[in-house]
Amino acid sequence: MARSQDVLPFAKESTTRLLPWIVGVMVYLAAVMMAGAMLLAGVAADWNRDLTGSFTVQIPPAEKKAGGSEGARVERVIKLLRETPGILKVKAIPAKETAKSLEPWLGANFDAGDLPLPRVVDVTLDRTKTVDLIAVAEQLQKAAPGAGLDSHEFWRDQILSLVHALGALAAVVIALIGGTCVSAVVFATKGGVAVHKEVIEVLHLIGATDDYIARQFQRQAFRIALIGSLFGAIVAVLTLFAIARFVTRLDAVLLPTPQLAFWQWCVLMLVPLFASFIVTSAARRTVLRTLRQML
Amino acid sequence: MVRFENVGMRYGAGPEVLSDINFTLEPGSFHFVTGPSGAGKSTLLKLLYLACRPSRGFVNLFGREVTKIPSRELPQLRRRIGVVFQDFRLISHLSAFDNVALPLRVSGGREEVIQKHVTELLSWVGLADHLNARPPTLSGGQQQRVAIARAVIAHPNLLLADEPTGNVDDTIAVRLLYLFEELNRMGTTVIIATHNESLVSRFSHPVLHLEDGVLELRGAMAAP
Repeated sequence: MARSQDVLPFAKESTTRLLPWIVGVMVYLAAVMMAGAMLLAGVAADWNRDLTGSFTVQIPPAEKKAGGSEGARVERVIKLLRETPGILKVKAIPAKETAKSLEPWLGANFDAGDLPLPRVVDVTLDRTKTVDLIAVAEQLQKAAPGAGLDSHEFWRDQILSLVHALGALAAVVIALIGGTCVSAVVFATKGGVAVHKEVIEVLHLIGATDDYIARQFQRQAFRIALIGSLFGAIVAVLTLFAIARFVTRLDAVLLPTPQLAFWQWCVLMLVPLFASFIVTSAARRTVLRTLRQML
Repeated sequence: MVRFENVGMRYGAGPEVLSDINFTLEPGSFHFVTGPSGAGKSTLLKLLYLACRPSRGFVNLFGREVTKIPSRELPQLRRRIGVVFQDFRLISHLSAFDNVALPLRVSGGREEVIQKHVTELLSWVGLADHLNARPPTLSGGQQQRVAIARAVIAHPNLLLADEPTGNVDDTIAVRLLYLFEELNRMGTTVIIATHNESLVSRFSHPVLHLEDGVLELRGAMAAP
């Protein structure tokens, strides 16, 4: 004689029929949202790392009447920077390379000679030392009037603020998704308890504890959550692969490659498990709370 | 075993369906509860199988005052009570076997013990060939036997039956009562609610007669 697993006839129940789909969609949205947040955070961290230990000096083209060649101005700046304590590396970007960096906007055939492009000097700082950038900027003005120092701080702060705001927004959206999912589970479970009220009464009267009855619902909720969340997770992974493929094909220099690290994939794989846990716990708590109102 | 003191019972704000009920039942006793339909027999049994609490008065069961028993302790107490409901209340999607096994499973019985005992008991009530049958496919009499088997499988101290002979002819009714007597001889306290007074008169057990919610003691009764 096979032991019957479900004392309650869940198979005939209509209140939970849509629940796997709801859980699936929620897991899908949460996983995609989380992947997006992690990618964004990774890109921001890369930018931050690259920009924190460096600054750029822009030397505008010398006005003809002011005299002095552009080469001499660049040389003075480089000499000054090399003599400044705390600076690790100084590299003047060739004018051709500067012009080439404008190709994505102006096209490959534009004539750089028509544009008053500044000369750019990339400076790498020694992270163990402190450099007084204000003093350096003042000295640059003396060495090459009009030369400006860009520590990327403003731009970096703006970007980081945006990334943090997007991260917070993602967290709020994920929390809302979780809340919506829990609400759906609570609603469906209450419906289930109402549908099975007669059987539950019999179970109570033959000595079943609330915990025993809650376990029946819990098991069913776990089955539903697992099916739904695995479905959602698989579709989310396919979506992420599709987006990655699409971005790679775009060949857009400004877009980072959307690639998740191994640990980030592990975090994403935890989403369906966490969702199953949430759904199961919500079902159990709802049943126990409802049963407490019965004798 | 059971003591009722000035028990009154009403549903919601309705009239009292039981008024000033007083009686005491000793362990191992056998009693009938009689009375016309609507007299309050089922309500009296509901109080006994802890489906509700009295509106007033005291109900003492197994030495404990039921109004003071916390909800978490009710399952343990209910496991000492077997109930044959008037409408059987079998779980229709479970087999006869699983219905009878339920009281043992909810109390955490071992599956091999459950297999043995349930099979034996269903054979004893003549349903050895219907272990896998679901209640809707069984006749009224067969369902009743499944309900009785479920009520006694866990060897309850107190067995309550609400109109157990309501769906069977007199011959089977008498046989059912002999079955209850057999269980009573094994030590179970038995209370049977029935409106069939002619059937009751064929046995010598004391009677709690209810009329309009008021109890009258007939036959040998212990004083409250």
